[in-house]
Amino acid sequence: MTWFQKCNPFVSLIYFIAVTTLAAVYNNPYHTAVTLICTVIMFIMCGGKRKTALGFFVIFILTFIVNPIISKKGATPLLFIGNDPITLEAIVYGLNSASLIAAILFLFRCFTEMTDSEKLMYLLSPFSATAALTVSAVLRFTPLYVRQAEQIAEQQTALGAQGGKSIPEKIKHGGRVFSALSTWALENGIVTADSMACRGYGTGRRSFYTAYGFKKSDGLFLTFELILIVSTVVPSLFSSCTFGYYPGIVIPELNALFLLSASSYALLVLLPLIFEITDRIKWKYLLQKI
Amino acid sequence: MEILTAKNLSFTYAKAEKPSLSSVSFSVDRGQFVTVCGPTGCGKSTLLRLIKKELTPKGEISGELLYDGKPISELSERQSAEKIGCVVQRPEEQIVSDRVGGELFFGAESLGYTRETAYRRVAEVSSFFGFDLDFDKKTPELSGGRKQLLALASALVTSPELILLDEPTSRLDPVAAADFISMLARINKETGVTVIIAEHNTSLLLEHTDRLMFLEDGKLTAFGSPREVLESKPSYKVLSDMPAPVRMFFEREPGGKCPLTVKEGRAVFSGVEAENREEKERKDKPVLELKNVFFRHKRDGADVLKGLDMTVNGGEIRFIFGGNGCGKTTLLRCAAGLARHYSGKVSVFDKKITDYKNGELYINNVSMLCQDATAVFTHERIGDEFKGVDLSALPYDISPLAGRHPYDVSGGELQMAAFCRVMLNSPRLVFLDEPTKAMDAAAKKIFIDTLFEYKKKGVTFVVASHDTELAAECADNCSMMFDGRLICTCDTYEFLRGNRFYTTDKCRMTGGALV
Repeated sequence: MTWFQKCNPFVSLIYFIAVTTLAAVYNNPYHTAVTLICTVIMFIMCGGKRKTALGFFVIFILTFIVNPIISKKGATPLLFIGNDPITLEAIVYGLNSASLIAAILFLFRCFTEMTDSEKLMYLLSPFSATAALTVSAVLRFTPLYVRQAEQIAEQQTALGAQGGKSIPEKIKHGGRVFSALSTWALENGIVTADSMACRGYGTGRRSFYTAYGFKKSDGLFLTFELILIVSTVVPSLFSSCTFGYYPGIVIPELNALFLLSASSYALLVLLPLIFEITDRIKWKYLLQKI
Repeated sequence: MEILTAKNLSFTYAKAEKPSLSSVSFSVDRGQFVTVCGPTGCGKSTLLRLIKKELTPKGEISGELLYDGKPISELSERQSAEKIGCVVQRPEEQIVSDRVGGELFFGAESLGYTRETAYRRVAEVSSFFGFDLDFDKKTPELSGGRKQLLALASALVTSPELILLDEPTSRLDPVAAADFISMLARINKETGVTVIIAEHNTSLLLEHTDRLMFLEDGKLTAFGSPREVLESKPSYKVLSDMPAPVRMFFEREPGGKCPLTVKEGRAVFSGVEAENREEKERKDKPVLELKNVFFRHKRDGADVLKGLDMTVNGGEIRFIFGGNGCGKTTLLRCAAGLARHYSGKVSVFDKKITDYKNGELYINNVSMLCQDATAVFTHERIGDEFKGVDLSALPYDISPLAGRHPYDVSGGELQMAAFCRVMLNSPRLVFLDEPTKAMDAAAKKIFIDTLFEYKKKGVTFVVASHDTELAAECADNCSMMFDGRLICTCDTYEFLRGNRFYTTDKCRMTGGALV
């Protein structure tokens, strides 16, 4: 996903917000399926790890199973466990929500994969340079925290002080390690704050320079994106796209408006992939020319 | 032209009884390189913090401190930020951004420079320091030395007239420290920026120093060019902070001019005769054996230990040298059972390390002190770590520290307290990872004494360090680590004599006669 990674962050932010919001609002197996397939492809193209995907799959399965077991709504019981019915509707609903959650998780993963702190700061800076800075500081501190926690744990092991064998003692020890970590973090925070003050933080209005150019292709993407968002949302205002789950499944009417909205949504979700592929082809030809 | 003047400057921290600085007077000219030294707690940092008003602690100030003829307190925040740059001890913590580029821009962003000015300054500094290639790199990925250079570079972006540095090299290895100081000296020479650096190891600094300032208990006991200070019969305390050529000159008094650098020292001491050395005959049983040990952090990562062999005998003090990132720490962690090797054999006291179960390895057998001594302390007071122990009976009396918070004591004291805590389980084999990193000369002396105290009791030490002078004083044997293996292991004397880089200044000056 090199193209998407290198595009203007605002363009990609709008995409992520639009896709997640729309998928959640429609809550419709069709939209969910399109989103899930697309985000999985994007996840793979982002170089997502198999381990992460496996984790998401576990979450998917759990959500899928839990709903039919807990939910007793629905008109079509398929089987009974004891006195509790497992209904078709609950299964469909569970499948849909599980897929939706998985799709959003994949999408978020892609988003974090593509967005580094610089981009986040760039996105935040028009609203608040301070917020932008906070994000950067948090991102910097997280790996430091993890490392220090490991170091404390290791040092405590070497001291033979993992706490006693009983659970209360272990909890007590864990608490002390945590408090040591917090103290360390606060100490560090002071040094960082000093260093910030030294370099004029808070003396006046902050500016922010990191620039992401706005290329022609960014403009193109943004235009398509906005058009597709409009053509997804507007038709659905006039025709119901809502998928009914309970008590019985109600499939929205397949009229022209619904089809327009649904296909626009599909195109919207696919947009980065389309741009990516076009970009790859373009580069291939460019390389040939070079 | 004076850039900074102090007249009878005194400072007492809020709630403190004793003043941290008492009637200090000096003046620094534009473009001078000023080295402030003195033992830990002498007021070096306090002085620097008074010059930088953003960092000035709460307390009572008296006397005058003028920057460019104006009291520091009257400088606007902006002026202070722009004109006075600052670099502190800990490279890790003073970096704000997670990207090198962001860090360099930080000062310019805070001061709201125009885009053109900001880019121009950053581009200039970044090219000068060679950060161009690292511009998009994440800051945690830089080495300690590069981090510290980044801190210096980002302080220079606002074109300060004065740079304050508080022990910037105390946490760096010697190679990185030398790089840092030479860069600093170059900036001082080329751009004329005034430098005030507090440091207790002056060996790298003395040749660049225009004014040497020595503080002791908050009092200015010496101030002048290094020659002036050294010709005025310096006290023992001043000398202990001085580099090896100076110390040796005052020990042996060969007459003539005091050498300030190793090069000058070579001319004076090259004819010194070698001391008689007793041959040490030790035939103790091995307590630690590593055979063909391989280690890597991740399955798909690169090997850190590549078939390492090591044998350490009982009662030995073994030092391990090697460049940064050569795997010294990993070696210690593997040998201490804190990291698991994937191939080879590690045995401790004739028993495979994997055969020790339920943490019995760490009871009366093995212990380790990792680089960051704060990781030892999980209580609010140092004394709480030593429950039921007679503090004054320890080889290093920590009772004065007992009631204090681990972060409120000096680096050297903390390290000593951590060391004592590690020894509390009466381990017979102890691994120390750079134990003297934040110590000044006096603290090092205490450390060596304590180490010998335990050695007498039969404890074996394996120490990863960069400090060749420390090794010369206390190590039995030294090993050189390179590319995941121990390349050579021999007697300390032979080791230091045979090396050109990993050796002591004394050895360098005398051509190996003394180490």
